[in-house]
Amino acid sequence: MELRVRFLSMVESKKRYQEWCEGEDVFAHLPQDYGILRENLICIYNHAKENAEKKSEQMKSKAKFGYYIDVFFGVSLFEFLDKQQWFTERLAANPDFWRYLCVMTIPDILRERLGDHAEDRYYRRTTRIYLLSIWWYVFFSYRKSLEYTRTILLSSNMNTDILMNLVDRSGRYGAYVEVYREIMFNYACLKSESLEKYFTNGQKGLIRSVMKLNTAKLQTVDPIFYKGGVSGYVHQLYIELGLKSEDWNRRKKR
Amino acid sequence: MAVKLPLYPLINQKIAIDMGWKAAEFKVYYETKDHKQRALEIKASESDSKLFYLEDPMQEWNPDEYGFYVKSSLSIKNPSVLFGKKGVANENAVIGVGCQWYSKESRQRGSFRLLSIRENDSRLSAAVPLWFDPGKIRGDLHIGFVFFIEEADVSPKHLFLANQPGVLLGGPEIPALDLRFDGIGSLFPIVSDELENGLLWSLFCEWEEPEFEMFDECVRITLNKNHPMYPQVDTNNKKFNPALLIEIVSSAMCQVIMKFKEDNESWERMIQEENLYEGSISQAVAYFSTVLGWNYSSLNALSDSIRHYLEGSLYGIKS
Repeated sequence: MELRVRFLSMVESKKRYQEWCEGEDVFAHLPQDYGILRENLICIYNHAKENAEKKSEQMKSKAKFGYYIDVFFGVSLFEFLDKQQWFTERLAANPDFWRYLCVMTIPDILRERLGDHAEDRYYRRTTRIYLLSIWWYVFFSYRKSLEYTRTILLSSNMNTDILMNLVDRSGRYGAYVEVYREIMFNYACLKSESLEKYFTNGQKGLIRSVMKLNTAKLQTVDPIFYKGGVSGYVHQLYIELGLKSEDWNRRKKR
Repeated sequence: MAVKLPLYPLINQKIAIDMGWKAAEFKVYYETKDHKQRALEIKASESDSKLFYLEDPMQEWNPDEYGFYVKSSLSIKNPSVLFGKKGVANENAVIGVGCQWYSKESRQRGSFRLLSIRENDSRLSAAVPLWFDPGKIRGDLHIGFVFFIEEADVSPKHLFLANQPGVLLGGPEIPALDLRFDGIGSLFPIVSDELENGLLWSLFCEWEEPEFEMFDECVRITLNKNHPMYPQVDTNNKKFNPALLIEIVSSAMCQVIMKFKEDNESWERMIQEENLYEGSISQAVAYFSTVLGWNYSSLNALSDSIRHYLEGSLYGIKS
């Protein structure tokens, strides 16, 4: 579909968000091309919700229902945007692009998913903007194919905490994308009893520790030049945090 | 004030000279629609002498549709100088040379290996063939050379030298390339917008946990596009007056530092360099002091030191 990309600044987002909360019809301002985009996004979201319901039933877990929506929606959003000629990684890295979508295009979807008083997720906290965070979650976790990536993200070790920790941390210099993807794959393949060991040991969470150790190591080491490359580097991160080879499930071959 | 000391010797200027390091300035090219290589001009930014932007004299290139190559070449006349107790690696180690790039606004970084060096090598050279996909890089991009241990020496004689594969040995500071793609991204988050209060500028400055929240999400100077004086603070305008922007930034930053200081606990931890999480408000406040030399002893000293820093970077005026 054709689209003239639009942006919404932080200041303007706050204004529009308040207008929408007070009941003003923000969709009256929506340009036609964004109107079509809105229909597409609603459709994608509804499918995601259906899939999330099925998954919750299958896993007998209502607690992760919201997370499952984020994964199905994130992956489908990723796939949809990838097919649009106007979409680039540059846009994905621009929070004002996502603000326009969250505040002007589908604020009602966000309200359904996140409830009220979620300004941070609509526009205020850059890495927490809802659509930005789910897109980058998929981007930083991508492996082999979107379907395979979805399988990783839906696996039992994954949850909203992982999403937040991953997206929040690109930091001052940006992220080595290959490293994040390897961290995620390793994390997904850990045995659940090994992860539980981590929580009972009083650690705040293994993923947070891995990400912090990675940030620290990057000051003196380059993972691309590491012995064993990125895969060796990431494996070593986990080993330094106390894990052993037997803590991982037998991994599927590439 | 804590100082970060390297645990082992790194490449310094003397070593760079002794090894006979030579590298060409980075140049940028793209492939035109009829498959010709065309150079992009690298022009200095008016508002920051250390940043450059790309311009296509034929007005064809743009970062969304086109990728670009970054090219250079390097040579090392006396590689043996790098080995042994006066160098940076043990005699039987292998040193690698590569390029590192990063772009905070693109949320990405990368590295590329160029060549390997052994003690017995004579003069070495390599070309740099970096490629960036269309639509990938946003904001600022930094590219530089880096040396690293590629293979360890299995029986190292000098234990004070780095000897683990992947460990960085630093690199010559020049040549390096700092490109600005979108006119955004700087040390101080500054944007242009319409302000309802009618003032020339406004500061957004809110946080709850300064040790964890990101500086550039919680602090923002907004310049009012509708104000009659706006052209004087618009870096793309002929009437741009850097002195006015300096006054605005220094006034805003004084407010930010004083607000941070109100939280005694965070302030103490910042002084002790605790919890300086990458990109956080606490880390930014520490950085302004330890690296940029801002003086936090009083409001007057702070204001003066910020303006010294800003005038120094823009006009080369030393304090």
